[in-house]
This record gives sequence, C-alpha cells and structure tokens, in this order.
Amino acid sequence: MTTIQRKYSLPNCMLVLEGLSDRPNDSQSLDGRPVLTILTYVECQLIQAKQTLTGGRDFFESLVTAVSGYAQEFLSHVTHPEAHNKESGLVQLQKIDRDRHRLIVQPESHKEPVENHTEGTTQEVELTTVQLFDLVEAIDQFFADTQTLPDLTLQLAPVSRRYVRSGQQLVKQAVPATVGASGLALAAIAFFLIPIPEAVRRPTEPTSPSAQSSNIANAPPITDPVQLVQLQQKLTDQLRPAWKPNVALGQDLVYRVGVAADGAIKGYVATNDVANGQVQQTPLPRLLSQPVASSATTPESLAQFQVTFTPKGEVQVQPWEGK
Amino acid sequence: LWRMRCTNPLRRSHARRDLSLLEAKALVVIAADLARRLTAIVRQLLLTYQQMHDKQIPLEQNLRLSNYLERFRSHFRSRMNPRRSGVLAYNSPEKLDELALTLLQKLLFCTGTAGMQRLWISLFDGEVE
Repeated sequence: MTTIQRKYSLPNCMLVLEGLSDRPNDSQSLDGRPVLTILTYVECQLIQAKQTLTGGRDFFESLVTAVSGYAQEFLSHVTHPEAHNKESGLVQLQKIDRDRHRLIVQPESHKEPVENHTEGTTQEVELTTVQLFDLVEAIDQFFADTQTLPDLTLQLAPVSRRYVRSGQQLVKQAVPATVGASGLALAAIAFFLIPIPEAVRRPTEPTSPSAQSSNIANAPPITDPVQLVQLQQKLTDQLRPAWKPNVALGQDLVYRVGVAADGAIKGYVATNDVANGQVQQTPLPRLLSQPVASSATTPESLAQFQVTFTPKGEVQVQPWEGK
Repeated sequence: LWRMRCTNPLRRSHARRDLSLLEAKALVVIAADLARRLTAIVRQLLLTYQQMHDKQIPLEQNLRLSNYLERFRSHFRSRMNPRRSGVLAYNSPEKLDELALTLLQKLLFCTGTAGMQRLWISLFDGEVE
C-alpha cells in the first residue's frame, strides 16, 4: 500500500495530508489520483507565523470545523458556535481585534485525564486576516478536492437565532433585514444550490500520480552508457509517433520517465503541476507497462530520462540529470 | 440589475421594495465573481494596510490605499442618506475608513474557492430558527 500525500499550498499556509486508500485501484478517477480515504497525518504550516500544527484525524476534523465556522463568523459578525467549541473541539478561534485572530490548539491527548506535562501543551498562533484567509482557502481547496477524504465535505449552514447574543447588532445584515421573515430565509437555503465554482484549483501532488511511478526514484539505475543510448533511442521511437501537436497546451510538458532494460516504460513522474494535470494528454499512460506480480519483490534496474512534449508535436528525450 | 441597488434602505434614492431572494443571490454571485477577478489587488491592499498598521504609519502615505479609502468615502457620502441611523454611525472619516477596510477584508473571503457559498450563507446568520 502506498502512502498518498496531498498538499494545498497558499502564500501563508501549507496544508499537507498523508494517508492511505482503502479502495481498489479501479475506483481511481480519470486523472489517475487514488482516493485518500484513511488519514494518518496532517501538517498545517502557518508560514508567516512560523508555526506548524500537526495531528491526526481528530485534530484535522476539529481544525476544518472551527476554521470554517470562524470564517462565517468573520463574514456575518454573528458568533458561530463551531468556532468556539471548548468541550469537544481541539481547535478554537478567537478574535483579538479587527485584524488579528488567535488560533488555539489543544494537544490531542487532552481528552485523557492524565496529569502529564510532557505530552504536549496548548499551542496558540496569532494570525492576521490575510493569513486567516489563506488557512480558510487551503481548507476550502481540500473540501473541493473529491479525491481526498470524500467523507468530509463543506457543511455551511446559517447560525440559528438562538446563538445570537442579546444586544448583538444585526443592522449590518442588510439582506435578511429586507428579505424579512426567517421562514423565508429557510426556504432560501433549501433552494440554494450554487455549484462549486469551476475555477477550483487542483491541489499540487508532491508524490507521484500512481503507485508504479513512485518506485522509479528508488530503483537501481542502469549505468551502462551503450545500453543507455539504445534505451534513449527506443523510448524516443515509442513516444514520437504517439504524440500529436497540441497548440492549446501553451507550454512544454516535462516528465521523468523510468525505462526497464527491455525498453518498457515502467513509471513516470510529472515535474510540475501542469504536466501532472495534462498527463492524460500524453501517450505515457497508454504506454505504461503493467507490472508483473513477481516484479514487486525484486526492484528492477531502470534507466531514467527526462521527456519533454512540446505543443508543436516534438518529443525530446534526454538522460535524467536528477535533482 | 442597476436598479436593485435602490432596495437598500440606507441609500438616498431608496425604492420602497424588498430585494427578492433571486435578486439577492444574483448580487452575491456577481460580487463573488468580481472579487475573484480582483484577488491580487484586494490582497495587496490588505497586506499594505497590515504593514502600515503594524508600523503605525498613516495610511495616507500609500497612494493606492489612500486612493481606495478616498473613493470609498466619497461614494458612501454621495449615495447614502445621512438622516438614516445606520448611516449616521459612519459620520467621521475614521469610521468610514474602518468600514472600507472591513468590507475589503470580507471581499477577500469572497475570492476563495467557496467564497460565494460562504457569503450567501453568512447573510442568513442569526436569521433562522
């Protein structure tokens, strides 16, 4: 079983999820990314604040609920109960002033009644509004990603009237004030179905798109220069007739490709996001040789090449220089 | 679409009618879409504001930020009815600047992946049973 890593990256916040898939490979989506269903580790780097929060599923669920609730509170100025869940939540958010917000994270072992100070302390992070937004956006991009924890989805619902503190000003709620009766508002929510915007950015995939390809970096290299030249020619001959010009692409697609001693393509890794997203446009998935069951035990020697597909229809194959 | 603005009871030219749900929703969609196109500018203005605020430099010293605040103030004053109590609360330039920045921050949240949903749902906070 391969560890799957998903990364949602914004200027001030990087959310990294690691986990496994308990679904068979045939349920993979069109883009070839397996579904991450079991979450094992979460890392949330708040870059400007120079703090990193880590945890497991409990922490992550608490984080997304609290942050999402607080984002709604920020927009409406109505206290959102999910942002201040002291009893069950590990994560809470508080407003310091208009531009500053405090994120409080309890250690995950907090629930156990053990008096032990070494097991972790409460973390507090101060965020500016822009930093808070980046955290919200990283989480919203995770929610929009159907291939990562599909059981967690964005649940937005208006705060009930009973949570409104007495004396809290509702003058700012211009629309409901004119829309009127709350029964109407309920109806509005029922018929509200704005589709998820099309411009959803796909998260970057720091690991390889498929299980086979993840092994190519670790495979023992083929070093014989004569064999390398032959394999380079063989790979070029395989790819060149299969690649058609595609002007719509706009830029080169570059992959790291692993080739076995017999010339079969054993794996490939996109070198950037665009190449990762457009991999189905290239002949690589079709030409990938399926691993034989026994080959998993002994790693095969591979020759590695850098393959560039240009929009004009050219294929360049060069020895992989490595990073 | 343009005339929908007049359903705002705080405006000088106020048409005595309520915004329908469909109209409100349309305005939310338009606002979120425009906000998304302006993501870079909104972000830049807020980052500049934060830096100047932290260093306690007057906001007027940044040309872009002071342009925005100035335009906001003049638009607000020319369009909103000062006899309304909701408008009266913003009777000083400082309070108007504060409103302008608060709205700019909210606009940033509208630029996000789920910004449209978040804005729409937030409008009903505290209004349902």
